[in-house]
Amino acid sequence: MEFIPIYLIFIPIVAAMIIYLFNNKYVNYIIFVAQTIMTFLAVIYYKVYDGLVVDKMIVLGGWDKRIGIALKSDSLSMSFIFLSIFIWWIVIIYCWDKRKTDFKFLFFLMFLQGTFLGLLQTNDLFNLFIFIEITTIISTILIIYKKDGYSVRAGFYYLLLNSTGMIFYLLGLILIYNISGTLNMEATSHKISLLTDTYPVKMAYIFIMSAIGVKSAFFPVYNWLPKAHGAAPSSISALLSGLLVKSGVYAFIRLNQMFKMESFYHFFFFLGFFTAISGIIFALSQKDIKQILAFHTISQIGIILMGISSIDEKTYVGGLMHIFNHAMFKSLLFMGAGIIINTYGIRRITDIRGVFKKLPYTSIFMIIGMLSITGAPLFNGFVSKTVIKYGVKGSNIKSTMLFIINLGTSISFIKLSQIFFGNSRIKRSRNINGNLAMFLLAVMCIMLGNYFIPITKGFFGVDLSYVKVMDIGNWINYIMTLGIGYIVYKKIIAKDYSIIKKIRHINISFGTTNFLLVMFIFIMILWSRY
Amino acid sequence: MIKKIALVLMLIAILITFSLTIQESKEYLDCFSKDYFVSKTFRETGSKNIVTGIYLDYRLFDSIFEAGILLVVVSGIIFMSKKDEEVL
Amino acid sequence: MNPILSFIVVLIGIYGLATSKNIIKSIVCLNITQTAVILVFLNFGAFHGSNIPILIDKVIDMTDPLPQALMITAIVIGAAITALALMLSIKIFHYYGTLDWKELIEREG
Repeated sequence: MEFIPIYLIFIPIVAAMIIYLFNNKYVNYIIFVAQTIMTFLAVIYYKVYDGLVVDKMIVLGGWDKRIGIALKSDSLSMSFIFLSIFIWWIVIIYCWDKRKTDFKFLFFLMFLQGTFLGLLQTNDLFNLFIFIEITTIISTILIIYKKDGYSVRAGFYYLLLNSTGMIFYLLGLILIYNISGTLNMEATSHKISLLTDTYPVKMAYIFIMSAIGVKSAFFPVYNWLPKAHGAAPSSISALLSGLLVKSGVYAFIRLNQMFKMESFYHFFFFLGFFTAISGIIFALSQKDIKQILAFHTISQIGIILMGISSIDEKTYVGGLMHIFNHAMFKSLLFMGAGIIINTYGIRRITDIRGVFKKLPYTSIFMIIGMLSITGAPLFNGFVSKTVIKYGVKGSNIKSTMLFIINLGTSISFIKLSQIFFGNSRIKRSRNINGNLAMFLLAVMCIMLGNYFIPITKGFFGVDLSYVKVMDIGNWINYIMTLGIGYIVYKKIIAKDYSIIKKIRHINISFGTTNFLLVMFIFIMILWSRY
Repeated sequence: MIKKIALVLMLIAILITFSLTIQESKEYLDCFSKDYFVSKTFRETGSKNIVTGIYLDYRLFDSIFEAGILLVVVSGIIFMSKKDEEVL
Repeated sequence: MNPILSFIVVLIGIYGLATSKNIIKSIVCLNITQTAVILVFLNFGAFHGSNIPILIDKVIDMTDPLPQALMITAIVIGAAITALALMLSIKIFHYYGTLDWKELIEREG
């Protein structure tokens, strides 16, 4: 019973190997068996240990804690495990029509689930490095699955940039190992809590944070994300943008819990702001539907970073909740975009018209997703954005920054909603599995928007009854934001000036991105001295 | 040209900071892990080569996933180099 | 002296990554950087002494065995990434007809 975390890692991997070995059409149904077993095991583990209020650590092999590899389960990792098992169910249901007999695809998908669940539970610095590298390699193979020129170029860029980033992680690792003598994260945090002003700990922090910054798409080094998420197959786009980008943010939270460097909290807040602003500026100038959604992922990660940059204030819970909400509605939007591209055959939003008449169910679910991401009351985006807004109420500059970002999000989703009107001559197609997957996600969005008080008390231990859904002031605020966004859109964006065309065609090469990575490390060194 | 000069200057700054770091990290050296391994490896694992004892006994979990990386990379390369829709 | 020399090789590899115009040169520079990081690990392990960590004759002043065990795994990971990157560059040449970073951005598959 206490070895369930190990079973959760190895069941998907064994199921993947069975599928690859037999290559029979009926053996593929083992996927559903494996997913059901894993759901039961996760629920039983949560109930037996009373919601994991006390942390639980298993050392593999029974050695001393500072010598062997340890797996740690606490409430944060259990909530991430539930989220990832749920999103994997949805992706399997969504792509079951096309990929029933494609056993190589299912092999890579299930192997990825096993290593991702391992990443969420490990408590050892070198083990985290290995799991991040395996996730990078399998994601590359899944991005280039369609084997055309566009995908291969995007996947190659993704692989090279992420490998360059993880080299800096190893340099930081050896510096911190020399001081602490062990590779366990909990033992290291006790040892270096008195030494945070010395050179080795600061340099180790800078190197490790720049590697995690490449992995989670922070401001100067996010160039791999729009290409990779735009070129992948639709179900893999939903998985990457909803869940695998959050692996970098999860590693960021764990390493900040270990290091506890107070002097960098403001730096990450401003970095999150720049990330969000540049994501919105680029998203307003694109015309391809998947690129717009990919740039929006960057700006939402900026909002999450603004939330979690300070460990023990109110904005921390808002940032954590925004991770979960963003996984739900971004996967919903990507799946809807996939169905639209399959039916229409083209990707530019100026040519797609009449989605509401041809695909009624899909468009209803996509409208629910759009209302969630802009922060409408009764949906889940409202909850997390309000918590972050209450956290920064003290200073005026931060509140203005948050308002500008919300305004930009509303403008670009008003621009995206023009595909629903009008008529078109494409014939209808039935899409039962896709619509079922989107229906489940939309139900989760609405539920998290209304019944969040018992869920957050159970998982995070915070009482959120000061967020009122039925307050008239919040409704008026939302409608005013939409109104200002509509006016700005009509006057400026719809005219398509030449500067917008120039922003659309900016393309940063690989050499320049490495130059920006070196500059990122240099700026962090300068910040740490003053 | 300006980019190359700026790049070289930033890399030299990182090098100077790193050399100061090495000087300081020689003072704060911690020998817990090395003393444990030298004194207890032969009794607990039965091998006189300490590196092999660590790689295959104390850190077996890492080695399993390293073999997993090789499995995934080889199957990925075979998948990519096939031209038609053959089943492997 | 030795850790600083290995770190200079790491920085040379990063300079090469930032200024290469050819895809194959970028992959070679990535490989150089990964190998130099392995040298940095072994040099940091040698702060404790410089006898080999096998329990035969001399049992004092051994080097630290843990970084050496970690680097066996890191060598394998580096070789796997290089193999995958080279396979992808073959496919890029097949679809685009060029191996230059600037022309790769402008052409359409």
